[in-house]
Amino acid sequence: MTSTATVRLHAVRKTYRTGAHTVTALDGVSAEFTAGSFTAVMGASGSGKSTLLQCAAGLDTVDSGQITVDGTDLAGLSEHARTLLRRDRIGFVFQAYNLVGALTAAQNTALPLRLARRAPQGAAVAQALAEVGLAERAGHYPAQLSGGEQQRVAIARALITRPAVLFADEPTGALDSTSSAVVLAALRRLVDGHGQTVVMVTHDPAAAAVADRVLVLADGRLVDEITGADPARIAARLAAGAVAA
Amino acid sequence: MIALASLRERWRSLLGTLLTLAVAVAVLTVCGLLLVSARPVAPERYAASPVLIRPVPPAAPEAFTEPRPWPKEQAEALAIRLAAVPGVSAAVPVHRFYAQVLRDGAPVAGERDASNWSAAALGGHVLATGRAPAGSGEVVLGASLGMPVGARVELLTAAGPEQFTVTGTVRGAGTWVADSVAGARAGGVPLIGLLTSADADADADADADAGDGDGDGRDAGVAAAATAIVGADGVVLVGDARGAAEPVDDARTRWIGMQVLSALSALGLFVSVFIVASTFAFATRQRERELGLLRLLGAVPRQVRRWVLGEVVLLGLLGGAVGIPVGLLAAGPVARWLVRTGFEPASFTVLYQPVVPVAAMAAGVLVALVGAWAAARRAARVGPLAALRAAAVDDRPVTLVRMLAGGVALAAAVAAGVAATRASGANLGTYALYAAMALVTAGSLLAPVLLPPAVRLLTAPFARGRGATVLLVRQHVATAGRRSAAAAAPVLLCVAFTVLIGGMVQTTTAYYGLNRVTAADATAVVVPDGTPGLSDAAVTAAGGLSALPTTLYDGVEPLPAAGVTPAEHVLLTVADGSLTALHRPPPVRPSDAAGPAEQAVPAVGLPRPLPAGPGRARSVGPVVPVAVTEGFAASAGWVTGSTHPVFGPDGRPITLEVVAVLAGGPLPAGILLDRAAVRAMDPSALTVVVYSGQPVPESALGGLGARPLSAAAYAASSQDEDDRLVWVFTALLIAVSAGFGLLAVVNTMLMSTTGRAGDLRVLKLSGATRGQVLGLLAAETAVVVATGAALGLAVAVAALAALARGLSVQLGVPVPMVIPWGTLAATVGVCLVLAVAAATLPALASNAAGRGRGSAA
Ligand SMILES: Nc1ncnc2c1ncn2[C@@H]1O[C@H](COP(=O)(O)OP(=O)(O)OP(=O)(O)O)[C@@H](O)[C@H]1O
Ligand SMILES: [Mg+2]
Repeated sequence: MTSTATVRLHAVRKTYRTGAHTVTALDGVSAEFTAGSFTAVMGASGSGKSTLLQCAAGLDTVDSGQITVDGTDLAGLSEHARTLLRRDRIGFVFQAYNLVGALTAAQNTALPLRLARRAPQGAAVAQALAEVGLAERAGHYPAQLSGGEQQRVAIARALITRPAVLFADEPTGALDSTSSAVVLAALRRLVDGHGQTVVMVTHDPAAAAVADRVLVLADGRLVDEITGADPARIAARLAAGAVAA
Repeated sequence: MIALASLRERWRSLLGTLLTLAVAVAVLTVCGLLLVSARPVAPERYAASPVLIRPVPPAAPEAFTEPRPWPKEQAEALAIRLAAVPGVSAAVPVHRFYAQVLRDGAPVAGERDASNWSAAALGGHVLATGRAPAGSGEVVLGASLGMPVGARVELLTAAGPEQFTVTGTVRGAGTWVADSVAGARAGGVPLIGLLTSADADADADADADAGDGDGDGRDAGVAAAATAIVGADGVVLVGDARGAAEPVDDARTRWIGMQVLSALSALGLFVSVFIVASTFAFATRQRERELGLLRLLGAVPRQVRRWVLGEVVLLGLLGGAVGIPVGLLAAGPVARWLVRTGFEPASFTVLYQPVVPVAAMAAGVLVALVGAWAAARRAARVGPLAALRAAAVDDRPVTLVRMLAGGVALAAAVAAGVAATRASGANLGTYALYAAMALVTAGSLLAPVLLPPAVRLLTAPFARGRGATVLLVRQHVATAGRRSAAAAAPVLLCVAFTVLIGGMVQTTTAYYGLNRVTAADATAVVVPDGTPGLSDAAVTAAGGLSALPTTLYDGVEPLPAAGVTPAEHVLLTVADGSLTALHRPPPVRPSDAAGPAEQAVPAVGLPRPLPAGPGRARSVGPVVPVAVTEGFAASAGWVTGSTHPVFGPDGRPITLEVVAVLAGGPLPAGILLDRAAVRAMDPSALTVVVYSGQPVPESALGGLGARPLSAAAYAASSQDEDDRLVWVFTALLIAVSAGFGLLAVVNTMLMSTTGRAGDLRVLKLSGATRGQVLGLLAAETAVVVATGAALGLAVAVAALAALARGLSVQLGVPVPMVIPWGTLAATVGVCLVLAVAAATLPALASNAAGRGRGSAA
């Protein structure tokens, strides 16, 4: 297998143990995300979408199976090495609480560079903010930004290190449809313009339709894959899957 | 940048910590300046003498007794040889005895001794008017008294009031009599002062290498020569070291001052570490999500740790910048207050050493670092997933390390408690304080384990109700054990220390009262009034039972002793032997026979014969019969019939023969001998107190520097100088610990409510009225305060029990433990009011300000 996949999951299993309970969040998931692709992950609540993203981003360990990101096998890495990989090769955006309240939009954006002890170049930060349409809000604090704007700052920040892959967990979950559209458009532009690899979890068929491909999870398994569909068809397929399951 | 930005963002919640650090640095600056300033100062009366020679002092400086003096003959012989040293113009032995000027029958404060007129030169005193004293009834006084030449003046001596005629005056203060008079009235010689002549400079300059051959070089040369002559018989003091010749009372006062300042510094340090630790533990818990976000973005744990520590270093520096100027400004007034209160001698002045503020600043930063260390480690362990969870649940159980640390602190507390039961005097209180510190640490470390069950117990009676409040309070405290523990910790500290310190004083006061009451079944007590003790005339006038304290010396080590008459036998219980032999006629001393003293006094410069052990007792000097207490007999290994060569208060060798061992009860000293024997050896000995069977009229004591008290008034009185100092000391410690503690209480509560803004919003959204929310906060706070107070009380009671036990062992009778309920109630009340206010005010304020936009902060 010599594919150009940026992220590859092979037979990934993940269980949570809380007391006597064990919950199988991922039950043998295999998937590939090729460079420059935009993938949406959908599925019912509790189907394991967030777990999938967290495992693929090296935020959590898996029970069995293999995950490679940008050619690096996550299994053999220490916590420290995983942190460095995350810092340099992976971007992450989630539903809310994405920004450090004490820092301005520009400072938040530059944060990964600072953490990596790389000199944050003002131009790069300005460009990243411009890409998400926030060039003139650079000096604002998160509390002075709308939810959509905060989310776009988070995307700018996730991109500042030019990561191999950007994971987004319900980035539009807390936004109205207008703000959602702006955020999604920003993501789409990144894929088309810069060949950015994006994996995005969403409950919204309209959001999923912006992606090239939709993966559907149910009870920790991949149950469907939809490509090039519009929101209505995606919604229909999801509904059908839910009935079938 | 992150540390700075985060400080800017959270400054409000860190204000308390900053204030704490600032206060701590200020306290440390003041205490540090005063501690380095508290140096012995050579007394004025020896100001003109560059080289002082005094007898070898006891090994333990805290004995606060004069070193064993030289017998007069030995001192004279030494002085003759010292005077022959090149550069020395005179070697003056000091003969000093108790003599206090009476003005209109009232003792004048200040100088309490008279010396031989030759010794006036040691202070650089020359006659301003009149002539030197010559005859037995003549005296030269300091001009400050305003007594003209020719005036009659009454001096109170150990015998009683005596008439003198003023023959001259000198500038300054002091009392001098003719050398022959002083020689006859004084006991041993406590000091020989050297005067150096100007023409000695030539010799010294010739010896000196460069052009710096000045007075210092000459004095050093003289000191070296004097050391060679004195050998093992004395200590040569030159330059600043002459401070060692300060009066024993000054040394004692200074020592007490040191204790106060050290205790304040230790308490300040401990409490600030404690507050910083609890604040940062709290803050870290509240910032978990933000820290997780940083980890998610690629921060490695080491970086997180560095931020937290960087933040506290900044806080420490900021605190120092505020605290140091405050400390520098406060040092002067505090020093004056210490002198006025009696914690420092009048000679005390502040030396502004630049190293002190620098050290205080460093200490402030160190305190902040130590305090935040655990929090920083915890922060570094926060995983990136913390950013994704909305968790408010304290899922981490109490770590093994924390349990172990709590156990160690508990063990340390027990050790300090045990030490307290063995210690005596000021050390007792210090150990009790240590015990409390360790217990407070243990308590707050183990609080997460203790708190949830304690809260469940406390709220159990209300659990059946339908209200949401009790449910919420119980659940919150139970699921956030550590967080509640962090909030309860300052209350624990506050209550534990105030109750402990207050209880300590009341327990020890009860002890002293007990001590006094048991001393005699007296109806009236006569105590000194403006004098260091009672003269024989006052004792006779009072007509009761008393003891005449003095000091014998085993080698150079002091042995407290007291003289009694047959009348005092009613106070004594004989365990072994008999008291009849105690009052054999006073021994005839070899020197009294005016013969040469060789047989008794070792030749100057030769090694002194070592005091023989009990086994090979050799009869040296006259034999003096003594009775010893069981306690002393046991510790020293003395038995009835044994003899022990010691030295008398005048420095001459004597042999003690134990004729009786005494049982039980508090006694004035471990060794009792005949009162007349004491008077013969110690002409300046003064009686401390007289117990009388009948009331003593005030008129009987007129002009004697004494006053009567009823027995009850005496037992209850804190007139005792030591008691008063202890009391002030305690008040200081309470103020400092309570001040710090309340600061911490307010601080944590403010932080706690601010951190729960989200929770409270949710509550309001789910239908809670504003009143309900405030009620919930108040109830929660009250529960936390009540639990903290209960734990604090337990800590204090444990330490007080150790203290009471220690005192009981010392006194031999049970000492009741006193718990200061008033202090307890006041402390808990203030804690409660402040905590509830601090917890509800931010909620009220945020209500008024409307909703702010949520962010990660
Ligand atoms: N930390 C955890 N401990 C225990 N169980 C967990 C944990 N995190 C997730 N789970 C369980 O694992 C399963 C998958 O959770 P996951 O968060 O991946 O779902 P999801 O698809 O993202 O759901 P949603 O759409 O609601 O966000 C769920 O059953 C959840 O209860
Ligand atoms: Mg999810």
